Amino acid sequence: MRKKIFILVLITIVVSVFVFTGCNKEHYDYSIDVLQLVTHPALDDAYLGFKDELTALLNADGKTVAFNVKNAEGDEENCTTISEQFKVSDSDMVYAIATPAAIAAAGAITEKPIIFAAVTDAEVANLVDTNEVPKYNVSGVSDDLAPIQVKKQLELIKLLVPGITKIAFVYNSGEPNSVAQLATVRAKIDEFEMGLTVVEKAITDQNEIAGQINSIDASEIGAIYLPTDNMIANAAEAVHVANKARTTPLPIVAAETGINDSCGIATYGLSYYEMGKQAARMAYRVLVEGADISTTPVEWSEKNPVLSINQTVADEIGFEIPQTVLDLAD
Amino acid sequence: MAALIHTLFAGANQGMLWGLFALGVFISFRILNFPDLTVEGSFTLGASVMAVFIAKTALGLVTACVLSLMIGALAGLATGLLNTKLKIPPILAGILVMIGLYSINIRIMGGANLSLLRKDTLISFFMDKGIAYNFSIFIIAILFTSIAVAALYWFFGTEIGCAIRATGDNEKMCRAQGINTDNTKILALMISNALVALCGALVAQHQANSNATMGSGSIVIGLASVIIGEAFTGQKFPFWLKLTFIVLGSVVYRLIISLVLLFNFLEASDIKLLTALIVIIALGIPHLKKPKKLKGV
Repeated sequence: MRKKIFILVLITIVVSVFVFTGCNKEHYDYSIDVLQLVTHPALDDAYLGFKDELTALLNADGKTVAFNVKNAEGDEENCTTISEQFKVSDSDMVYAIATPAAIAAAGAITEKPIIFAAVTDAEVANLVDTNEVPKYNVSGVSDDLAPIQVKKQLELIKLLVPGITKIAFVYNSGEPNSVAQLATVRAKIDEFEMGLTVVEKAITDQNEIAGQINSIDASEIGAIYLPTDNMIANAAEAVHVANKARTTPLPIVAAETGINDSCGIATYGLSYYEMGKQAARMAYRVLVEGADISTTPVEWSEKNPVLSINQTVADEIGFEIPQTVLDLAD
Repeated sequence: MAALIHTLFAGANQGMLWGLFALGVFISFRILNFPDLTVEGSFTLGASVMAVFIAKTALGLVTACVLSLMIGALAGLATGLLNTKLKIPPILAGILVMIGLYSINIRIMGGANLSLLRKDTLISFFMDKGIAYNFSIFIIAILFTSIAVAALYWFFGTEIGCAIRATGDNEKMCRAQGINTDNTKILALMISNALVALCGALVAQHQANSNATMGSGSIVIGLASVIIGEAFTGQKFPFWLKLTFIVLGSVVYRLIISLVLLFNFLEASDIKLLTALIVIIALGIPHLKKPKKLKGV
């Protein structure tokens, strides 16, 4: 009986598979497979920017393009499964969003070009031989916090809280990107002698966010800095709620605009939408203009850091943004 | 059509690699009757050890595999000692070791992840011999799972192996027979976690990446595989065939996931719900139909 049920289930799956393969026969000039690590605003923007820009570029040439988007929902084994499927699909290119997705794609696919975005260090991840000459079928746009951006964010904190000596750095210790950013922040403070001390507040689980935010001693620490951390990005609202619930809410500066929109008061942001557009321009050069991806250097997000002020959050936590910062926005 | 065949082949390979995990879970959950959550940590532990060996040392891959096995066994030993000597309940003992391993894994890797892309792995070893990527994985998967199934079949036929099975069936009776059930429990947990760590070591090479969080949620996958495998197994099947079906259960699980990911009839985020449903169905059906078939039991 139970065997029959299982066989029935399997047959149903196989039949539906054939039914579904029967559809989707519409013709496009180009087709792009997209592998996204997980759903969250920054990565979604990296996809949207790519899609919008590449569609616009190709449409201008009178060409059409289809995007086959797969989301691994944070499971790296799914990244591998999806990459195996992309390996034999009839797409022209793979667009991988975030480091684990790019690694899985590069591990399985050597037949077609892979363009990545939202990867912090492509060399360390062995995605490319060197950033200047990737050597393999992989290149893309790095989201490494441009040194100038971190510096500007730290200067912003000093403007927001005059006389500040300590900042809290809240991050998921399990994310390499965040650990790398912690080192960058410390290096910038030393390099430009900013007189700030970084206090680490590591989380390993979203449920620990409230506790860590609460544990920050406002008499010593003047502000919170949030890196572009996937876990934090997913729980930015929770950070805001926890911060608002403190007896003395602290001003938060997030490294990324998406996170800052939920809980920060101001930041110099990197737009993942713009990064996606930049990746699309690289994809266009490879697809249409015949550029060789193995010699296409890895790019950094061109768009200069842009100051964005979040008056809503500032009002909610009762923080008055100094005029010096408001003046910068104009 | 080619895409479908490739997907099924790649999914089956993945399933076989994860078959080692299912075998590990089978030993703790089914044979020993010990709900051991250590595996989520020992899986990553095996991956971390392998990754460090591949990325940072020149030691042979076989040595690295053996070391992953041994270090995984140590994780099982820790859980076993917590449970038998300190009398910490099984689930809690497993969770404690699991969360402890999170920090240890980051220490081992020297960071939260380690890329194995373009490094010398077992996969590239076979590829250098001129074998295609997917067939290299197939060889590795079939090699390791066959050895594991054969070794487990042999081991659980020995006196000590039988003592472990007896411990899971009836611990009090076992003690009455003069078996030290503390030792059998510890040994079974060590074997279970060694297999899981080896699985982590192989999966890390396939993913080309080892990550501190790669083990989270894996216990459900392991359990689902075991339960699917058992759903196909008959009462009278010999033990080696049961073990084989556990691996097949893992293959079926991966095939389902692969097909879900290939065709967009479900969102990727629905997979966890699907996994839960598979486990519920497989667990529930035998109970729903029990009243009719009581005579043989």
